Amino acid sequence: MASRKKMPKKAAQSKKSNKSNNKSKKYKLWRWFLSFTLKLSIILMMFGAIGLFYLDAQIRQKFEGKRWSIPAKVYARPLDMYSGLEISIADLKVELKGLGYRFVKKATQPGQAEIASTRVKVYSRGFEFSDGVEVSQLLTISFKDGAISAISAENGSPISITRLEPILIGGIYPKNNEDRDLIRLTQAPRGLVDALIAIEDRSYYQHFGISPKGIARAMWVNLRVGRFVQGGSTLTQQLIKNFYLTSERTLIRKLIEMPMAIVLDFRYSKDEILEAYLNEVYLGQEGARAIHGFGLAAQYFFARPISELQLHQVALLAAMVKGPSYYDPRRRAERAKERRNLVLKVMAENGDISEHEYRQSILKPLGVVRQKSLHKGAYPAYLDLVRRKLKQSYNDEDLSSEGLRIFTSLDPIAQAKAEKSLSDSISALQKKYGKKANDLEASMVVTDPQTGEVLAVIGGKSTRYQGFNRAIDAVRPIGSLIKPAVYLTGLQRGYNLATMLEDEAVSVPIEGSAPWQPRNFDKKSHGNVPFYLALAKSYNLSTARLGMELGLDNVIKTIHKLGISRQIKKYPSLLLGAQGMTSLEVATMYQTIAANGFLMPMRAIRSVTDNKGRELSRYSFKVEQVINSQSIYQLQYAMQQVMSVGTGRYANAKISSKIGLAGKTGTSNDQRDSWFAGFSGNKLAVVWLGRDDNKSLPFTGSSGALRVWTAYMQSESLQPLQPAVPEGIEFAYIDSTTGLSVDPGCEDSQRMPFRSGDSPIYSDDCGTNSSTVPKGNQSNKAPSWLERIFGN
Amino acid sequence: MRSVFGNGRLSVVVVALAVLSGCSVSGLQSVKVEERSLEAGNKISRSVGAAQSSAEVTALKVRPKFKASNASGENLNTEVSVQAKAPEVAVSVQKPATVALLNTANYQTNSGNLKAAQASLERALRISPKDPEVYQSLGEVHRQLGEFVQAEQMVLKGIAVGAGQSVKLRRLWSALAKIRSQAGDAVGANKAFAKSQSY
Repeated sequence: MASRKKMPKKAAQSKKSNKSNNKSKKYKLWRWFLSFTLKLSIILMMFGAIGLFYLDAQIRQKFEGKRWSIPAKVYARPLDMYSGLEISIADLKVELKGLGYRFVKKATQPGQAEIASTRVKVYSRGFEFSDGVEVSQLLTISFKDGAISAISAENGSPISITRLEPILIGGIYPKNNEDRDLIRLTQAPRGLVDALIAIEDRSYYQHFGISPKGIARAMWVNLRVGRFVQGGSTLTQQLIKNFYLTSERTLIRKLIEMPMAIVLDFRYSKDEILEAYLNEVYLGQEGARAIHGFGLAAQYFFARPISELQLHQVALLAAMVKGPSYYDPRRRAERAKERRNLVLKVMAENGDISEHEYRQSILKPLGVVRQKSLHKGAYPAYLDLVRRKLKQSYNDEDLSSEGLRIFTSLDPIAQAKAEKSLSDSISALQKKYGKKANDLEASMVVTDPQTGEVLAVIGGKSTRYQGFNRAIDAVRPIGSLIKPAVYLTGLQRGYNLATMLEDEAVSVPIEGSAPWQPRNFDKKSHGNVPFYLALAKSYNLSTARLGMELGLDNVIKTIHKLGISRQIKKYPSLLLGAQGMTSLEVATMYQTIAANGFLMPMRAIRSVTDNKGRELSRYSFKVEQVINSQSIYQLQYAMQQVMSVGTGRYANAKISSKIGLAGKTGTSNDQRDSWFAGFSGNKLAVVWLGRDDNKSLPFTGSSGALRVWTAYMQSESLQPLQPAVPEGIEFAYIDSTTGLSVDPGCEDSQRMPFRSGDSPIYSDDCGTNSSTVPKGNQSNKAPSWLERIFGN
Repeated sequence: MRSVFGNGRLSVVVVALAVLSGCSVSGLQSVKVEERSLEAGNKISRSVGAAQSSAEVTALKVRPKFKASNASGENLNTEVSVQAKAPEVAVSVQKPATVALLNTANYQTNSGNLKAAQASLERALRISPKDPEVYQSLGEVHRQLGEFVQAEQMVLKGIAVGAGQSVKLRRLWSALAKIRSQAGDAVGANKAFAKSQSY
C-alpha cells in the first residue's frame, strides 16, 4: 500500500516539467469537471434524498402497518377433561400427540407428559379461550375403568374441569398461499437467534444494515473457489429482499437493497428487525402452501411450539434458511444433518454453546415428524364443511388475512376412529368380494346426537385427499333410510307399533307411465306384519302400502320437519328411498330422531374470534321441538328392533344390547348404494358406500355400510340410548304375530310402548286362537288410498 | 279414527303410576320450588292485568311457535294431559364438572354476563346432555336475553329429558310459565303453571 501511494506523486513531478504548456488547458478542463461533478452530485444527492425519503416511507408503511396476511387458524374442539369422562389412556395419548407433547419420564415444563398405567401427568401449555383462560399447569389425571376418576393440580387440590389447548387443524390461506404463525422475539428459544447470527450474519448486532466486512469476506471466498457461493447479505438485507422486493434477480434490485437495508437499520432497533426476520423467512413448502417464519416451521417440522424446541432442532431450522428445499430434512436428511452440525460447530466456536452441548447435539437424530402425522391438512372434508359455513358470514379476504381463529367441534379422536374403521372395513370387504368391490368410495358423518355438533367427516376413501367431498356433495338415493320418516308419519297419524300392516303385492298407477310395483328384497310377501316389525325387517310392500295410505304429502312434510330442506319429488318411489340425499342430510334427519324430536342445527363451528381472542360470532346450541315426544319414543323403539331382530342384527352381535343401539339400513335400487345410519346415546354415525360411476355393489346396506358403522361404534365408548319415557306413554306385552296385547308370560310376547289408552285389545289366550285380527287393530282407515285414487 | 288420548283407562294408569313412583321430593328442594312457582304466579296475574301493553309489544315480536296441536292433525301433546305422568325415575348424581359449570354459569348470569353463561352452559351440555337443569339454565339465559322462543324450546327440551323426575319437572314447568307470561302468552303461561302444580 505504502509504495503504491507514493507513485502518483513521482509521476506528477515528472509531468510538471515536461508538459507545462498544457497546464492552462488542463486547468480549464479540471474546473469544468469539478463544477460538473458538483452539480451532478447535488442533483444526485437531491434524487438520493428524494429516493431515500421514498424508500423510508415505503419501509415504514410496510414495517409499521399490517406486515403480513395471517391466515385464519382453524382449531379442533379442546378436550374437556373431568372426572367421569370416558376416555382411555391410549385416546388421551392420541390427543397429546396431536398437540405435539413430548412423552418424558418426568414432566417439568409445558408440552410434556408422563404416561403410567393408571395415571397420566400432563404439563399443559395453557390457552386463551374467548370465554376464559386456561392456565399452564401440571395436571395429574387418574384413570379407572376406562374413565377419568380424578384430576388434581400440582399442589394436590382437585380440579373439577379443565381443558387442553385445541389442536390446530388447518388454515384458510391467502392467494399467495403463505402460511405463518407469528411469534415474538421473546418466544424464540435459546439458541435460535445465536444460531441464525452465527451461520447467516456474524456481525448482525454490530453492522449498520449492510456489512462491508461481510461482503469483502464473501468476495474473497467466491474468488478462492472461483464461483459465486456467498452473497454476504446481512439478515437485514435478506429481510428487505423478501419483504419489499420481488424475487427477480435484477441489478437494480440488488442496488436498491443496500440503501434500504441501511434505512431500515437506521429506523428500527436490531431486535425489531430480527423479530420481523424470524416471521418472514421462507422455510419450506407443502404442496401449494408456503411455510414462512420459525413459528410455523417449528409446527411443520417438529409439531410443537417454537418455545419448546431443543438445541439441535433450533440449529436445524437455522441451517435450513440458506436453502429450504436443498436442505429439506424430510427429503434430504443427510444434507440437512451435515449443515445442522455445521451450525452447531460454528455456535460452539463462537462460544454460544458449550463443547459438551455441541457433542451431545450432533449425535441427535433430526427429530422431524412425519408429514402424515401432522394434523394440519389431515381433515380436508371437515375443513371444507367449515369453510362453506364461514363463507356465509365472512369474506375470503378477511378469512385469509385477519388472523381470525375458528373454533370447530371436530373431535380428532372420533375422526381417527372413523377413518380407521372405514379403511379396515373396506379392506375386509375387498378381500371378501374381490374385484367386484373395486373402486369403492365412501363417506361418513359422525355427530353428537345430543348437541348437534359434527364430530367427524370423511369425504372419500382417501381421507386426506382434498377433492370431491362426498359427505357434502354426493347426492345419492337413500333407499330404506327413508322408512323411519314414513313410519313416523304413521305414528303421528293414529298407527301404533302393533298395528298390523299388509305386506302384499301392490301396484300404484302412475299417469303416463308404467305402474309402480315395488318388491321385497327377498321377492316374497309376508302377509300381515306388525308395524314395528315391518320397519325392523325393512319390508317394502308394507311400507309402500302404509305410505300411500298416509299420503305422499304427509310423508314429505315429515321429512322436511326432520330437517331436510331440499325439495322432495312427490313420486311413490319416494317411499322406498328413490330420493337422493347427502350423508350430511341423512345425519340431520336421524339427528332429529335421536334427539327425541328436537331439531337442532348441525354445527361444525362453535365460535369465531379475532386475532386478539375477541368473539366475533358464535354458533350456539338451539333446539326446536318438531315432533311430539310420544311418536319419537315409539319410533326409537322400532329402530332398536331393527338392531335386535331386523336388518341391523350384525351390530348387536358385536356391541352389547345394553347400549340399545337404534338405526336403519339402506340399499338403493340395483344395489348402487349401501347405507347405514344409527345412533347410541352419545354418538350418531351415517355411512355411505358406493361407486362414483354409480355401478352396482356386491353387497347391501347391512352387508356393507353396517360393517363400517359397527366397527366405528365398537371403537367408541358408547353411552346407552335410554330416552326418558315421556308422559302419555304406557307399555303393553304384544304377540308379534297377531299384534294383540297378551300376558307377559306368553311365548314370543314383547313389551313395547303405546300412547296411553292406545294399546291393542287384550287377548287372554296369548293370541293363539285369534285366527282373524280384531277389527279395532287393523289398518282399516277409510277411505283407503286406492279408494281415494279411483273413487268408490 | 280412534281417539289417541284420554280414554277411561287413563285413571287406572295414573293410579298404577302413582303406586309405582318411588322417588319422593326432598324437603329443602320443594321449598325452593314453591317460592319460584309463587313468583311465576304473580308474574302471570301482573302480565294479564297492569303490564298488558308492554306484554303486547313483546308478543308482537315473539309468537310462541309451540302449540298443543297443529293444523295437520299431528299432535304435539307434551302438555295435553295434566294427569298422565311418566313413571318416576331415579335422578342420577350430577358430575362435579357439571355442578361446577352450572355454578359458574349461575354466577355469570347473575352478574349480567349472559354470553359467557351461555358458553359455560353449552360446555355443561356436552358433558351432561340429559341433565334437565342445564336446559333450564339455558332457558333462563335466553329469557334474560329476551329470546323467548329459544327460552321456551330449551325448557321443553329439559322437560323431555327430565320425564319422570317430578322435582325437576315442577321447576321446569314453572320456568316455562314465567317465560310464556313474559312473552305475552298468558294462556300458555297459565297452562304451564297449572302443569307445574300437578307435580
